[in-house]
Amino acid sequence: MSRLKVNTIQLAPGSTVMTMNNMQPGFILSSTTIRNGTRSSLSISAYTVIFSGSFTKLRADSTIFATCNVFGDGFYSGNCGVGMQIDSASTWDYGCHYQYDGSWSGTAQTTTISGQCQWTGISAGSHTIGFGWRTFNLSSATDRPFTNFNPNNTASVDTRNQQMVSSIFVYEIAT
Amino acid sequence: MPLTLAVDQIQPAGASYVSWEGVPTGMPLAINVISYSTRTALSTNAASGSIAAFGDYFTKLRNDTVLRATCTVFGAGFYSGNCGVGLVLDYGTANERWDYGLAYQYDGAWVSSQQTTILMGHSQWTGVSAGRHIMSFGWKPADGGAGNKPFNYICPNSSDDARNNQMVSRIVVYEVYP
Repeated sequence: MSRLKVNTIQLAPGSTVMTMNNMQPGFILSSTTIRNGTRSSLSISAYTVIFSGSFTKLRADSTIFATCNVFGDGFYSGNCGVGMQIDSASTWDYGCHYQYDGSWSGTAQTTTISGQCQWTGISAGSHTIGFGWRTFNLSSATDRPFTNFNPNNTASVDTRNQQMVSSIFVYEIAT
Repeated sequence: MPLTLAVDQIQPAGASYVSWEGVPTGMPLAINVISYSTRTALSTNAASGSIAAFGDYFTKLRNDTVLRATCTVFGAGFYSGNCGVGLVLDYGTANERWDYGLAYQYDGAWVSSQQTTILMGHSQWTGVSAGRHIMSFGWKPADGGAGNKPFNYICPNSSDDARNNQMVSRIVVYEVYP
């Protein structure tokens, strides 16, 4: 067994990032945070990406895992196929959702969406990950999870609200 | 030709831990888990005030890293529809910094004390110095109004519903490379 005893490991001159080969499965190679803290109204649609951001995947053989927390006010559709996608509509993962409140009655009510998604077979390089909704039947353009994304202290909603921040955490995992 | 070093083990040579430079952005350096599992009655905040319900200390290892946190917090006895919940770094100090990347879902038909409210989210801070810090969960209404709290009791147990185990609320703090 070869054992290296050092206090600091630095990049070789001329390199920009250290390449980690043969790490144990499940090791987090890199991660990216995508955050949005602006309240905006959503249009009804069968298919919309609400917010997104880019990340760089370091290796072709790794897995992408993402968690999300998304907030809205003004309940609208009981279900509408919320999820996350990478780059294109062919990569939607529906590992997130919100809980329908059958007695919803007020604009101030916050809807919380949470979940975890995973993708394999994504190439190395720059990609865009986004959160949105895509109805299964795609036949009706009348859906959205809520009326407004990212509640804040707008008087017509609830002056107690701070500006809420929705986010996606993206992890690249060694396989 | 990149320099490649083949080893099976890397150990510190006298230091407390191995310091890495130039690793990929977002690679975790350390994770701290803050747990709270005591059913506790919550107070309401005073005017223009805030409350931290639970938290704990952790040590940030480097100056140049980013702090991220995830949380799941559970309560019984619904109270305020909204109240500006958040995670707060260094609560009660001159460096207090709130992040409002979490929320709970109001149930307009809430009628019974045993109903559980779930609060969850993600937060992030940059520019935090190395050293000892405290991470807490709390609330701070934006309008400064008094008398708010997300629920009556944090961490429900069998006192709220005989079927409940003692629930555990947690904040997980990640220190990641920039």
